[in-house]
Amino acid sequence: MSYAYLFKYIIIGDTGVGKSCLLLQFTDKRFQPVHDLTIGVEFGARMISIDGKQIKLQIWDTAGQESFRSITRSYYRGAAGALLVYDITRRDTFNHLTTWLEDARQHSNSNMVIMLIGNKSDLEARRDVKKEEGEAFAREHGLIFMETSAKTAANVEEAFINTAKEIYQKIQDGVFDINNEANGIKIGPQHSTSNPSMPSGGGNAGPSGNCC
Amino acid sequence: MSDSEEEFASADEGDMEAKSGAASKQSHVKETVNQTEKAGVEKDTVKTKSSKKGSEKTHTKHNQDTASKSPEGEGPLQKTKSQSKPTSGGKGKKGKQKSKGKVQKQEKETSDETDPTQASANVEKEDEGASSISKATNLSDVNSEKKDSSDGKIELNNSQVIDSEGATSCVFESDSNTDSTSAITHEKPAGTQLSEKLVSEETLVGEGASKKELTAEELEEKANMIKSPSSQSISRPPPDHTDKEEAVLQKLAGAAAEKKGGWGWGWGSSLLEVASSSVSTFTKEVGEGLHTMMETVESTLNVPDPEELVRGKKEGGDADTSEKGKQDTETSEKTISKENEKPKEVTQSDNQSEKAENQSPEAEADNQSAESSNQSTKTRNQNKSEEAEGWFSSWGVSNISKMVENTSKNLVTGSLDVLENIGKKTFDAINERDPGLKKTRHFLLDRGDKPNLSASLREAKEQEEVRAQHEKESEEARKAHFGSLFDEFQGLAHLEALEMLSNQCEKSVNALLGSLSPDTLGSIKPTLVQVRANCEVGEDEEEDVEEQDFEVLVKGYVRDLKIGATPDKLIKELHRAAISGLAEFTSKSIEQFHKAGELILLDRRELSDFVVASETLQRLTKVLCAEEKTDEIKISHLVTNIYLEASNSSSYIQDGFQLLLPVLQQATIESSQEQDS
Repeated sequence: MSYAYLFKYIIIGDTGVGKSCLLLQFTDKRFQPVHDLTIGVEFGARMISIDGKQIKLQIWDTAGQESFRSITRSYYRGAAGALLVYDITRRDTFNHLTTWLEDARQHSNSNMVIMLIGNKSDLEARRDVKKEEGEAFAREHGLIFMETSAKTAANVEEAFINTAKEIYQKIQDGVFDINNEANGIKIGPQHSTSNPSMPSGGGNAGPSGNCC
Repeated sequence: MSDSEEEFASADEGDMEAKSGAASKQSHVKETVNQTEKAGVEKDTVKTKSSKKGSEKTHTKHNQDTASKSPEGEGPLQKTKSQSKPTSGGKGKKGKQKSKGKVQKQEKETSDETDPTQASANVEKEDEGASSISKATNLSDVNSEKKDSSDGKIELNNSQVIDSEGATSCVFESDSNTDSTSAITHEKPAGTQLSEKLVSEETLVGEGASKKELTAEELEEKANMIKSPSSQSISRPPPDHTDKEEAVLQKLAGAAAEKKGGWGWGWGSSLLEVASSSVSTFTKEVGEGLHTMMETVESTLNVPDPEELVRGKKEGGDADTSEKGKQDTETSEKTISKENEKPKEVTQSDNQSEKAENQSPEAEADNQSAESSNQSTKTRNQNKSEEAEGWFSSWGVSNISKMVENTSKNLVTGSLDVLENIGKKTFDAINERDPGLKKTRHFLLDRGDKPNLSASLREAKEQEEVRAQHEKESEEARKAHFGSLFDEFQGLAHLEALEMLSNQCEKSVNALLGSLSPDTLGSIKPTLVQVRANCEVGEDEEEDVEEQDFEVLVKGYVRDLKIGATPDKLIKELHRAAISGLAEFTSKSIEQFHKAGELILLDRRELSDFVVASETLQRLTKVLCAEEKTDEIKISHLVTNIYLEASNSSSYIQDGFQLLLPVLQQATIESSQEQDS
């Protein structure tokens, strides 16, 4: 499928908060209760539509284990959006947000849109972090905030799409230089025939018709 | 008549001269003078004038007519001949007069001549040596110098234009020639001749004498003008020069010196006068021509006269002047007939007014607001009075320069105004007519559009179909496109991630190598070299993998296909499956490398021997590359494509393997460091 833009996302957060499940829910619309530990980084992609424009989200699902931190840090670069996920039933995951945030801010471009996600909202009974706390943290650090449930798919779509909208808006506002791929935004090939095997080279060819 | 022929020929030459440079002019002039000293010269000059005037075709025609007539031997001409030596001179004058259209009259009676244009104030003053005057005016146009020359001419005419022929011709030429220098040079040859003639004329002139007496000074000056060349050889009596004349001459000489850098000689001054007069005449003529052109254009467009506008602004309103100006301009073209009809004074006044503007410095000074023609009757009267006495005194370098400036200014401003008016008028006209045009256009378009609409719709539909089909095809092609499939299987992402990882490892390796102690470096080095060697996959090694089998299998499969008559769809499916499988396989291979790299970094403590690991990976790479080739073999059709993609795939895999080098190196170094510690 041809697309106007390609946004690169990264999903970060402590291990076990449901990053891979969020991705699976978003890309495959299914939930996998038991998930293998992510090694390094996994990938998912999905097309969404914003403002009538096809946008491809390429999501880098990083390993949350501490041991992979040094590796995953190298994947932050060139991400337009980040989903910073914590588990509302585990306060420690919420407490580590600051570290994650620092990491993300340090290794990514400053314009990266960061969405704070309190996952596992379906487990209201086991909630350990109040929604207000998440909201407060997001407000304090200039993040977008949402509580989601990868299991019920509640707000999963919204989390990804709202982030994309924010990025798109930044493009419209000229904040993002779409020609600089370090920003995590690529201009899609005008036509699917145009050499998708070389995204870096062919991607810049046909954006003119899509941007307004 | 031979004269007429000469005239024509000379006329051509004159045109040529006008166009050509000064030098050429000189040569031409000399030639013409020599050749047609008698009559041709004058005509040449006249024609050159006319040609220069350009806009005034009538003049040229008149000239031609006159020329043709003159040779025929008109009575007056003959008379003049009888009176004066060279008939040709008379012809020349006549030709000049004729050029203005008054020749006949002049011929009949120079005294009676009332050529409006020609009959300038000078003429009046001089008494109606009118014919000569008229000629003079014609020739020299209103400039004071011209007047002078006209006086001289008058004398000549009276005395007998014949001599003056050369002189007049010279004068004319000079007039025609914008370049004073050229004029001067022209005059030289003519001048000598003229000088002789002039002398004779002066002596001969009986009629002219009276006129001369009347305006002795003027006549003298004119004579000087004309004879100036003669003064060289023959030398006009210097005593003739009045103070005014001398002053004028000096001024002119000074001006010439200024402009031309050193024309200071005695006769040169007179030449300069002539030249300057000729220049002014030319400019004036051009101005008139432009003016008339403007007026015609304006009249056709009904554009208000820019002069009037200007005048209205500045003076508030001399209706008379405006009218007169119009008349002047109008008459300028038709001058002869109308002027003849008109009372002498009026015509004279009109002509004078125009000329006076150009000529008289005062008028010029006043000119700023309007062109010369605009000057009112007042100025005319003034001019007349001035002409009698004031020309010389007022005449000066500054005047010349002013004249030039004013005329040029007038020309520019006038032309600009005209252009502006034309533009406005055109715009208005277009605006007015546009709706009509639109209607017609709509009408026409509507007619054409109805068939066009359906046609265009059909076309659009076809295009859309083509596009859709193309998209479909491209979509299908994409399904079988290795790159897109590779991307779909996230192979690309893995590759990208692997690259990022590799880059980071490379950086850290460099940093580590820099920080290592020489000892540890020495101990690690063999390992690193080994790892690198293993990572550099020898291409020769992979070539041997079942190469022959591949060939055989492909051939066999192709043969099978021919027999089986496999439908295209099946082939397509096969191709797609093959490419898809290839892409998936490749992406998985890359992912494998990627993960291996990540794990190597993560689990480096457990992996002690990175040489072994690298060897293992190398073997893995070989196997993977070989596996692709077996993949290729499965599909027969589009083998080329698959083979290409397979090589693509293997290159991906090998690249991926190469990317692991820094990872392995980093792991090696770090593990050695850990062991040391």
